[in-house]
Amino acid sequence: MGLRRYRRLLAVAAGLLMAMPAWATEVLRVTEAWIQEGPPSVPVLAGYLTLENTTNQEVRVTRVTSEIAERVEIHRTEITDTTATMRRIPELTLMPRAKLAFASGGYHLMIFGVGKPPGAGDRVNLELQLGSGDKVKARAEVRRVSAAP
Amino acid sequence: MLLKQRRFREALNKPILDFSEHAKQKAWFLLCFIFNGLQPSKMAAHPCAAGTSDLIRGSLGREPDHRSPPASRETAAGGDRRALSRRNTRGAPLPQQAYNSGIQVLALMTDHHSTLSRFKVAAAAVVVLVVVALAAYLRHPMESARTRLPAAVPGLLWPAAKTLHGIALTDHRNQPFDDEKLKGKWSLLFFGYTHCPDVCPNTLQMLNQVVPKLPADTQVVFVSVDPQRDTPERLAEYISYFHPDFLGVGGSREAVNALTAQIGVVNIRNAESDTGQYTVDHTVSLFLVDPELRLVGLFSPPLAAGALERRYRQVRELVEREG
Repeated sequence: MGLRRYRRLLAVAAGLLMAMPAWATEVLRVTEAWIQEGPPSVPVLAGYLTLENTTNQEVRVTRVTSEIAERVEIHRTEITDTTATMRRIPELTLMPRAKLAFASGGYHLMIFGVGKPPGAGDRVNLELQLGSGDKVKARAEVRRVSAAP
Repeated sequence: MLLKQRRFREALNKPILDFSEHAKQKAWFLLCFIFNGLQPSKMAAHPCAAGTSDLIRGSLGREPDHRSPPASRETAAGGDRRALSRRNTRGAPLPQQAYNSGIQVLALMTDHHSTLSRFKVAAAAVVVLVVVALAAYLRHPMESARTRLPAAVPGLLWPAAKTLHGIALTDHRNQPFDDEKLKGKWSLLFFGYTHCPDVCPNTLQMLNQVVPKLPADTQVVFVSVDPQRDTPERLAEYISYFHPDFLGVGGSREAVNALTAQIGVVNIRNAESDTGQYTVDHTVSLFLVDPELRLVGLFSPPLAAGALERRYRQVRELVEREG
């Protein structure tokens, strides 16, 4: 009888508990994550993803890690006139509701110290650490490079 | 940058003889004509008339200089393109001939029919104008096909092409890569390094798509600007991943710099990070070298396979035809 009385409340509480992880990850939505398959023996890979800040506050990405790499950095290729320069972005700040698509010739992940390079079709886990301390996981598919036709 | 390049391309695709301007000149002539009291004999010697033909010439010889080329290297060829288009237009523009004969016709008309009303003469002037415009228009497509091409080939460095010399590099099969290796072939040179995971693989992959469509005597040469890390062995693994026939070449810092300096390729090694990694800033354009080692083409980003093929063919056809 007592349990029955609190059933509704329990259901709401359980619902909230279940929604919480989703809630946390939804601060930053990560989609279209993929890693470019590298030529053999090249210990640096490039990764791309799309980040979307779903909140009305700034969201900072302070660190990216991956199980396959010693280190992951956010870099940005800048093509000035005809010269490409890569700049390390120590910390990425997404403005409220901002969406940022990583792409070749722009923002990309530099995945250093890859022990055994993954092949096309493999899936690699990435973890993004936010300024708030929250962590967002993403799964990136390894693809062979394909330039625009 | 993108916008600038698009504007540049659009500007190049525009016919050299700008018709709206031409029409304006004709209208101006008509005005001069009417205000000069309908005296065509005076007209012929009038500064207006002389000015008009100058304007026509100026319009034909108009240049891409003020069309903001995307790279300084492309400007370098501007002077010669100018000479080229002048040479091609020297065959006395038909509009001018028709224009002169138009004046003669008017002169005849007014001499023999001095009682003609001003309105009739003005109407006749309009008819002459239409004829002139029509003649110019008919003439225009032929004229432009000849004059437009040299100026409209994007990335053409010829005929001001430099000739490469003194190359002393080593390819990924440990064979010497010298001037001889470029002779008798058309070569697309790309400068990069194997630790560049973003731009370099994408460019090489794009080349991988284009090369089957290009003439068989075309070779792709990837020149490493990172002598410290890119050994022939590393280059072999790297370049073969993209295409079995691509060449990966490298060498001592001096040898690499000697080539990048000749071509004008940026090649700057950045400071190492705390983890010992470093990046190299480098030019991401492709360079086309003809069988006589002349640097005839420069293809700058953004590069897509289709556009590159088209630009390669344009440059090659022109160089082969004009010598």
